[in-house]
Amino acid sequence: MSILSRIKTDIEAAYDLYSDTLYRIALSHLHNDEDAQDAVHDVFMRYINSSPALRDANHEKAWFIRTTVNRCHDILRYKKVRNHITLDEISEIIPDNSEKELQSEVISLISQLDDKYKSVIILHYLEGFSVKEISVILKISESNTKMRLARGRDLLKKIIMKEENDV
Amino acid sequence: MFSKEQTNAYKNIKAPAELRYKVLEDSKKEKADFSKNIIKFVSIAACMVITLCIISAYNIFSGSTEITIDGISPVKNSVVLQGTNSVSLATARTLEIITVPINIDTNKKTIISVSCGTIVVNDAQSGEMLMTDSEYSISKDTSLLWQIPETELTQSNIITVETKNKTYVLSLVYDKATDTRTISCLDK
Repeated sequence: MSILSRIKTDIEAAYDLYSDTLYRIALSHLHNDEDAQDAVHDVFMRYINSSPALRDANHEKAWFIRTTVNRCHDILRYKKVRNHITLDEISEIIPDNSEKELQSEVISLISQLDDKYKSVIILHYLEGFSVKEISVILKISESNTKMRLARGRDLLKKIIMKEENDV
Repeated sequence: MFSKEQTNAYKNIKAPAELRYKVLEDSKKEKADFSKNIIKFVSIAACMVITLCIISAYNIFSGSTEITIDGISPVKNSVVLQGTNSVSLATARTLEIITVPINIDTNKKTIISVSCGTIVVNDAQSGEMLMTDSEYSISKDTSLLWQIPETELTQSNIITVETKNKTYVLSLVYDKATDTRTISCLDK
């Protein structure tokens, strides 16, 4: 198999495996469909150009998620995207489907968290990664991951309570 | 934290179909650039290797330096010296001077140096002495004399002929048994 055809297989396989997760993570950080698509696109182009040395599937997955989170932070810094967006605003960027309301609620809640807590909350409570896996993905210690999760959780509870009171 | 319905709904967010098309299309372009870069890199590397080969071949095959004493190369075989000059001093004591005539055929920079005695270069036509020193640099065929007064003779008398690529170290030794002096190359 030639190098080019191997790369082609790799990129297609990698895209089919990770694109949905990466898109969700990017959308949760950026609250914008176009920016989220750009971030995921950039990550795959980087995968082709830098050909990272990845030991196994877990390492590969961690690389994709970490690169996406970092890319989102870059875009956020560059565009100075404001954190909190309303349900109506988020509804506009989520494609029509039967679960649109629930999806919008989740993204809107997540959008109100600081970036520091956003990534760990998304990865743990929505993507289902363990504390250990998150520490590997984000290259932070397990205790730091736990601390961010606890603070993020507290913040999220306050946000939910506040929204319930407002209603 | 989140209800099961919320988590499931979140997980059902899929990347848009147009993103797959865009990523795969652009990956082809990136791959083309990647292969172009590889070809460019290989071409540059090949050119560098060829250039290095040419330079190395030039250094190896062009302008070799040849040393001869009485028509014999001391690099290949030891050369037995035929005679010595004697100079009478005012004190009526005779000072023996060992004279080694050396021909060096070269067309590149060559430095000759001696551990004892001096290098004497005479004009080929007039016989006039041009220089005398312990180190001499040449870049063409040259005949010179290595003169060592017996008072300066040691166990190991060395003349070094150094080019950019190779250094020849010639040693002059005295054999008591045969009462002869021979000169040979230490590094053949």
